[in-house]
Amino acid sequence: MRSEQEAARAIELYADTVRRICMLHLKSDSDTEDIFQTVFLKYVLYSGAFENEEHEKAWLIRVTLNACKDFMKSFFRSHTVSLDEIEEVIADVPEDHSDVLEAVLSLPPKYKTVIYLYFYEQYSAVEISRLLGKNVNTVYTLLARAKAMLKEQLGGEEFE
Amino acid sequence: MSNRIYDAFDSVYAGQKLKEKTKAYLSQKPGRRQSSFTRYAAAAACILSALLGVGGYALYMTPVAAISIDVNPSMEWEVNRLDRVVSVICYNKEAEHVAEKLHLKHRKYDEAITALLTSREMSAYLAEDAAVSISVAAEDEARSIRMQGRAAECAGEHCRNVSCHGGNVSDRQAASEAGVSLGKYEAFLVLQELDPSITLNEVSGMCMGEIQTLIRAYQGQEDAEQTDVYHANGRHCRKCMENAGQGNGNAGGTGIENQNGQDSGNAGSQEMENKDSQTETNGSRENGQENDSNKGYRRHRHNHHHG
Repeated sequence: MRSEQEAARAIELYADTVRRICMLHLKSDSDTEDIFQTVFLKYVLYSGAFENEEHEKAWLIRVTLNACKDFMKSFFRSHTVSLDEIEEVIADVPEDHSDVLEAVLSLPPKYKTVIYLYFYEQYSAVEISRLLGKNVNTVYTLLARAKAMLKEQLGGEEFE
Repeated sequence: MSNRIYDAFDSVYAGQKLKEKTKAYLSQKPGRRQSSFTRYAAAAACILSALLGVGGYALYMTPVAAISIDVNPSMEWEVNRLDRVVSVICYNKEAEHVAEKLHLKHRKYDEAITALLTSREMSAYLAEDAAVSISVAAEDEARSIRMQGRAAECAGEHCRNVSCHGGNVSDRQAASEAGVSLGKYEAFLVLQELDPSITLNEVSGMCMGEIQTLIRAYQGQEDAEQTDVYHANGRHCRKCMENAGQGNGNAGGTGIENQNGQDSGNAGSQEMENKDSQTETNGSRENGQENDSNKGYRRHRHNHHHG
């Protein structure tokens, strides 16, 4: 079990990463809060050692993705709709980038994750395949489709 | 090319409030984790105690032995492994009358015997040294013998004419199927051996004193005339044969015969012998008249039955 200081350090370092993944999959602040608690509690309780910060970050990304997936699967989640669900995410998104983020969020989950890992975390397709436990070619396909969808939505040459 | 996406993601960050909340949650978490363990432990303890409770109750309520007590009231107690009476079965109205006045359930069987034999309700039936027959049936022979001894001892403190037998479980089952107590059923078996024409119906209506007398008469004991005197008027037998135990010794099979459960048992039996000799001297009939007296019992028995 990790100490409180270690947990505080991890929160400072990786909170933004976790928050971004949550934004991709969840629709309300309270859900995000739940995932934060789950992810960092897992971190505190994890007894294994990390080789380096990159390893640590990858571990947290994986745990966050799993937590989001579990959350989406949960019975409560699939049978209820929060009242403030719809507007909240959009309201959170900064004005300047709202169109891009909206376009990304409109993609199916598997594409959103790949786009995020590729464009923002700048993992290679091989790294993404290892992180997600998918075939490399699958990742390439997902990336290509996601780019095409974004291009269609946003226009322009930049998503090639 | 990917700058727009990168910038868009970069504009998203975790607020300070979210970080603080998560830190606060983690700092209080150890306690909560412990409490979740405690919760599981408590749940497990609850289930365990419920199971123990149900199991204990089932174990408590499971009879391992039966004691049948017959005077005229004829009842049977089921006794659990803790020697406590867990159910009272009454086989006639007298027994029901007595049992409803006394709280016999959940008492130790020896205490229950004492309570029964010293009760006001029972005193009417115990007048004139009425025969008290106690039969014990248990699967465990050691338990059966111990219970017979204890029952005879307890009853002997309050009644002079106590006979105690051991029965077996299959007899007890047959008795309850026939709707009579074990004591009566065993006496019936003995009677049937002596006189195959006798029916259980006839026996079930008699009190123990009468049955014992009948058995003794069939066995052709020497003081048949005495019983003839007792039965000549057709009344219920209150006076019982003091030495009926000798006759019943065969009746109970494995049973312990206990005429007088007290330590001064010798004195009691001596007294009985005296009485016997007295009745013998009073009676002037010859042995050859035994057959007549037997006829008398049969008559009486039938009268009783039809009555």
